[in-house]
Amino acid sequence: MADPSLIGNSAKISAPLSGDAALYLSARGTLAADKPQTMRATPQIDNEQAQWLEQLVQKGHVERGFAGRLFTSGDSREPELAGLRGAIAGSLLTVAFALALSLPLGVAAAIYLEEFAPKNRFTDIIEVNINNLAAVPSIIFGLLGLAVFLNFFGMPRSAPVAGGFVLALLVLPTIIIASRAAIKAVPPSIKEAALGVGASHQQAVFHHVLPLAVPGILTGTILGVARALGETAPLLMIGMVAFIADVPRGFTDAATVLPVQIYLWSDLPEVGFQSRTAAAIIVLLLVLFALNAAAIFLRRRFERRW
Amino acid sequence: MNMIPQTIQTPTTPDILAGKPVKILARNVDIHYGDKHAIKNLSIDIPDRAVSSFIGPSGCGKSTFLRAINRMNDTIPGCRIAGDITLDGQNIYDRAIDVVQLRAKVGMVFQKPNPFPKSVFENVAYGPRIHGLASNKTELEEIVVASLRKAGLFEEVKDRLDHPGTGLSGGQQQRLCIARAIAVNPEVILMDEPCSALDPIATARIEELIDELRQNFCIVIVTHSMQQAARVSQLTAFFHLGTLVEFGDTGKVFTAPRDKRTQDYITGRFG
Repeated sequence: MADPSLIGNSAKISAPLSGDAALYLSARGTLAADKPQTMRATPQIDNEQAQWLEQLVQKGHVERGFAGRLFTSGDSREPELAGLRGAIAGSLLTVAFALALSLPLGVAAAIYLEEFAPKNRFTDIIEVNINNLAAVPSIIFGLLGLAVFLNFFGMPRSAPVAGGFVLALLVLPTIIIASRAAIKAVPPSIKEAALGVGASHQQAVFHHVLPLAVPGILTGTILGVARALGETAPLLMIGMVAFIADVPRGFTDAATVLPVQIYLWSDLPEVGFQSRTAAAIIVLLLVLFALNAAAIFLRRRFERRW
Repeated sequence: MNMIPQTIQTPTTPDILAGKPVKILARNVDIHYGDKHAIKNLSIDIPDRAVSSFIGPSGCGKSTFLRAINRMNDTIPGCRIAGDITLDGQNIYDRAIDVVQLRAKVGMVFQKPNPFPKSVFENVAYGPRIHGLASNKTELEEIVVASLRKAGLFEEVKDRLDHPGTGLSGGQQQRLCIARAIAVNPEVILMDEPCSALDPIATARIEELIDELRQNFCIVIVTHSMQQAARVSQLTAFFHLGTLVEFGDTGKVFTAPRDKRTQDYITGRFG
């Protein structure tokens, strides 16, 4: 008894309608309720249950509302209880880990290749390989993750660490290529000006070229993140496809991500998951639109005329 | 110590050199870009506190040689240089030379005004800051103001030092670049066609400025305009196909050239 003062009062409580019941109610208008149970769109609802539902509707106890539970609860076997919180947290952890790895590495590689690397056969080979890596199907990265990160390094299965490593490898070529293009687009006259007042090559690059390349690098990075966020195939290979009801709290907890959650839900037989899947797709698309809009905004905002 | 002869061996010995110390001295310089032989066996003595101009048709190597004086060519892949160039008797291609220190001593102004996309103040303050020329903010401000004054720009920009340097007019941008070069206390200022992107009024302003700067600096200017060379320089060098054809007092080069090629060029027969 946490709060005895509540005894004797009446309070309004609400509970989510089961998927079957919701479907019964939404199909009620088109399908006559007096038909035999097996002929209805929702054979799971028997006649007695149908009557209860009708009574609830008549008393005005059935309300439509925003399914906030979609964002507050983790995955569940019951469609009305299932939410995206676990998948969103998993996506955030995985992509954050991937970004923390690939952004510094990718930008450093781009700066080195564009500004400091000697032009010889070895760097030519590296360049060709980076371009080729950008075109490798993502499932191959998943296989690599399974073989190297899980089996060889023994990372936890289904964990954002392993997913982060795989996605980092996946977006690394994208980030390197975009960053190189951004660095190359800085007019050489700016670098010459810096060298002309006695700046060293490093100072010219880090004080002048890199700051001017940042918008381009950010744009490329955001597009890389958008790709990582929408990636499903490689994560299937490292076990992020498991049913996980708990919201992950760290990089080594078992987790799943948004696109994999969509894939999982779309595969389930319960009709209630149809609308959950649709909702999850909308959430994923909105996030991707937002990221692309951010990329366009940054490009416009920092575009410079020389 | 270097063993480079200090006697003057240029094709012509400019009279004006008699009273002035030699600042930059080049002996048997050859410069290649890959297969292209851009400068052929060039020797020249450039005096201090005077304006020397390099003229010649396009592709004659005058800019190439100018960029060799502060080792700007080092940044171009496939560029090789042989021979000696000395600054105050010290070989600038010596292994012991710090290129960064050299470029601080030999400033450069480029063909197209290229201010940093930062404020006017930051443009000028960058050089002194990386070389540690100012120990505090007040000193830095003094250097910036003095440099802008010397470049004849201070009165025009004193109210907008925090505005972007790229927002100034073309002529002001070029003077800002000159102020930026002056701010690190160079001994030599190299100018690579500094007025080619400017209108006549801005050009006249820069030419006046060059004439003032000659009191304190050794100035070498590459120009396409023979009139400009005649107006601003005390010495003129004529380059043709990678060789230094003639070097002498500007007046003499233009009125009584010793070489037929120089005469043909200045009378407009080719170029």
